Amino acid sequence: MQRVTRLSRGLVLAVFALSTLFPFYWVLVSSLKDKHQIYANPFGFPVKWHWGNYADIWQTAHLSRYFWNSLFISACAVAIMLLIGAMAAYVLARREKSGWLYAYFTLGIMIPVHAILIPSFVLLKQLHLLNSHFGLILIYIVSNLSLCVFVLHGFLKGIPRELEEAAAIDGYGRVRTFVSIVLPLAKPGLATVGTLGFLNCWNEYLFAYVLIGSEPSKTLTQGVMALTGQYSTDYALVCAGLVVSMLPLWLVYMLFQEQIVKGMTAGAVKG
Amino acid sequence: MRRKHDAVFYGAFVLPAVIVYTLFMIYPVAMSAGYSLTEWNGVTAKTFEGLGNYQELIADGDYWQVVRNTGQLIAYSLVFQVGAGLAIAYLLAKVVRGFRFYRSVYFIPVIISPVAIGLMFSLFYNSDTGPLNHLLDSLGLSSWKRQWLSDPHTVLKAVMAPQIWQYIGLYVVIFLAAIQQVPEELLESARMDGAGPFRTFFNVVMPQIWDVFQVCVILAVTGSLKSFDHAWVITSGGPGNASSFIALQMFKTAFISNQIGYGSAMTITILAYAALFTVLFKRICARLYN
Repeated sequence: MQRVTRLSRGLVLAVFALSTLFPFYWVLVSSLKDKHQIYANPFGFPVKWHWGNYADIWQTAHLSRYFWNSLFISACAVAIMLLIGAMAAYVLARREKSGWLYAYFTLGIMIPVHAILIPSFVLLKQLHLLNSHFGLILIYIVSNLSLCVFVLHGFLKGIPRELEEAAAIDGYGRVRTFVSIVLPLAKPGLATVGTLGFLNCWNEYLFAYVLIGSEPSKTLTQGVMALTGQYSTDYALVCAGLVVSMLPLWLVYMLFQEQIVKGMTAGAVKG
Repeated sequence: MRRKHDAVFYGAFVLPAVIVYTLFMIYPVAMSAGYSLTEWNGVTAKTFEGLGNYQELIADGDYWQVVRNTGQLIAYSLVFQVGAGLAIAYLLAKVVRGFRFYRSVYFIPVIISPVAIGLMFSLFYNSDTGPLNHLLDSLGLSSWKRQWLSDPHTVLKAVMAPQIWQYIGLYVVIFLAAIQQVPEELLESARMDGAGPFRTFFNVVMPQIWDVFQVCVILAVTGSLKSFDHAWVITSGGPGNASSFIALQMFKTAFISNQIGYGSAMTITILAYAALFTVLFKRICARLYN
């Protein structure tokens, strides 16, 4: 009986793992075939390996440009979000009478980000920030800021004040204390929200689509979306494009798995 | 002197976040509410309509169709993300060998962009060249083959499948962390009392992870209310509105039909559904618990 339950448990887990991996396997092998092979031999390994698909898609679909745009936008948004978020969270954690301000910030966690889609378009148009990376960065900052303040506030509350008092006695100013004592201690919290924020920005599509229309400024998710129209008949190229867009995430995931899992689940549970 | 200095420091530190947040988050929500009371194409002058847009919504068959679709998405998410995620987490928690492997595999789709996942599935569904129909052929199930994305009976499920599939791993990992916090003594004493895995689950594990379970339910519901990317990539909501959801309809209304006011009214309903559900659900749970 024990063995049967253990066996069926193993079976369920393995089947689910297989169903998770299979779609990626298919995209990966298809990206190395040609059109004909995808049709004739949909599930096997490629008979002849067409590495050229990658060169083609990287060049013609402008994926390299989109890739750098996404990297720039996500990195800037996360850096600014962490800085102003940590500054605000620090004040909220240290000043007793700021409960209402804390409530004001965490209100944003409850707001579905779609609620600001239409106004953000109008607002950025008025500010002449449509089609600019800066405009999108601003929106990405605010859409992750509430969670950032919430998590960092909890984290900074746990850091004892004595360290800062000692720093003050040593003649450190408040800003210097913040930069050289508080921030380094908050690193784990910063890493958690930073990872989550980065993935959110990197994978975001709707706001990028609405706010950025000019070809050279588009993000990687927009580039992926464009694959459907441009190469809808050539599956091999679409699959190569998909792999290019997923590969960085797989690599980052392999390197920072614990961090990413922690960040995403913290985001989910606290959101 | 010191106090005054402190006030300046605190103000200067909190101000950047307050300004950005107020200007680009809170103010826009208020703008949405304002727009929802007007008729506006985004170019010419707005005309004030009062609650006209909301009255129109109530009579709008398309709107209720996408609300029903979203309702279905919520139901399937609760069963196949929260339910299945919890079951898998419970099974996985007892595994020693391969634990880390399974956990990392299940989480892989979670980190990929929804647009890429949607595109991937739209390839699978292609009725001539897609692997799904191929797979059915090779399993001898040719009669199950469909034109997945043009058949109104299958298209909604076809669009829901990838978004549900993609995030099961997130729920597995969240539940797994919660289940691992359940004190070993409780499980041990349940075993001593001769409780089977099902009784142990409902009487011992479930009460311990109740908070996390609630959070996951709210997450699944609010996540479904925001659903956009997968449907947009795979079908753009079509044919007709057969595979559209509220957020997608809101986008189309505002940015394709240029009805900013009407689209904003839809936005406000999304906000209202999310808030209403969260408040009611928390209330009900609090009552259940006491």
